[in-house]
Amino acid sequence: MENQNKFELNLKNGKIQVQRHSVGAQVIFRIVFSDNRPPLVISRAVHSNAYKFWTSIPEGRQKEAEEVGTLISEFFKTFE
Amino acid sequence: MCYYNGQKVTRVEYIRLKQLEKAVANYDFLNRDLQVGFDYNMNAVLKPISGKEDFDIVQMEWGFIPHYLKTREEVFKMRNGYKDSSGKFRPLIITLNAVCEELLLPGKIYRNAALKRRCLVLSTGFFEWRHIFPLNKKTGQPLKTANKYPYYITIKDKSYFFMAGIWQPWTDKVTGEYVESFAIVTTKANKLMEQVHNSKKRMPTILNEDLGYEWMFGNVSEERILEIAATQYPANEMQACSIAKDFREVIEPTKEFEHEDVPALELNF
Repeated sequence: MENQNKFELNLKNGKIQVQRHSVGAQVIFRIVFSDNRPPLVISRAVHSNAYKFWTSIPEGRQKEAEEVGTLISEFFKTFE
Repeated sequence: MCYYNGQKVTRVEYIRLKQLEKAVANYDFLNRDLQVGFDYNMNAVLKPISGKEDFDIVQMEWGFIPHYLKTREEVFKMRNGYKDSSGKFRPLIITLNAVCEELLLPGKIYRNAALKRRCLVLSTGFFEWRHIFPLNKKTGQPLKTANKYPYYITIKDKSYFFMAGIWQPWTDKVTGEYVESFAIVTTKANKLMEQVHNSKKRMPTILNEDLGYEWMFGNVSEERILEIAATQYPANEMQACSIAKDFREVIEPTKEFEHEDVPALELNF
């Protein structure tokens, strides 16, 4: 059975390592890139129009959060 | 409405994300169920940023340090009691809670903070003791000494909530240590809390989102400060469960535990 708390995914620029953590009963994902970028922490958030989106924690890396978040969502769908 | 990373989110969601930021930055900061006041621990507090309708989430020491204390030694003495130079015992002064009715009384240590430095204390739940007086087996009369049972109180369907607080900057005049301390504002117990905290019949002032923002950012009159400070959160939106007496030492302090001979709470509010 594949580990759903720690796994690797393919991003267009190389592999990324993803680790799932619980912080204060909330789930975050910490991403380590294979290039020189600093690690990224992302989480799901709820838009005021009620839909969910991926966001970086802290603010500032929204584009990367959406890109990586989409991959993580796809990864989990394979277990459904 | 607020924006997080350019996305439009509700105030509640914005606060959650800001809280998460702090938790991530300081991993063991919010990830704890139990805060025991008498440990004078650091707690998560929403502190307004001066001049903006925004806040920072910071750690503050629970236990308001009055401005007139000059050193940590004096703080220790205040919190534990001490003998003065004439040998007379000066009892301890507890500044964990600020009684709402006395908040703005002239000369009170909390007055200036209540006027100028209001904050919100993040909580996932809090603990109180219920006093049950057992009956004398011969006479059927209540005994003088109560048995005490701890309860864990939460807000239904909310993983965390806000208590009204007031804070104070303080610097040790000898060491230069700077610390921000706070007190939680308390109000008269509602119908649930007067059964749980039945010795004092008080409860923390829990604020909903709108009142919380008004408490932190509002340009409010003294009368309005006292009004908000006296807010009683609705009893039917709160829940209380009994927990083990040794809850402070166990891994899961909030786990429900049923004690024998303890009557159920009346929940017909």
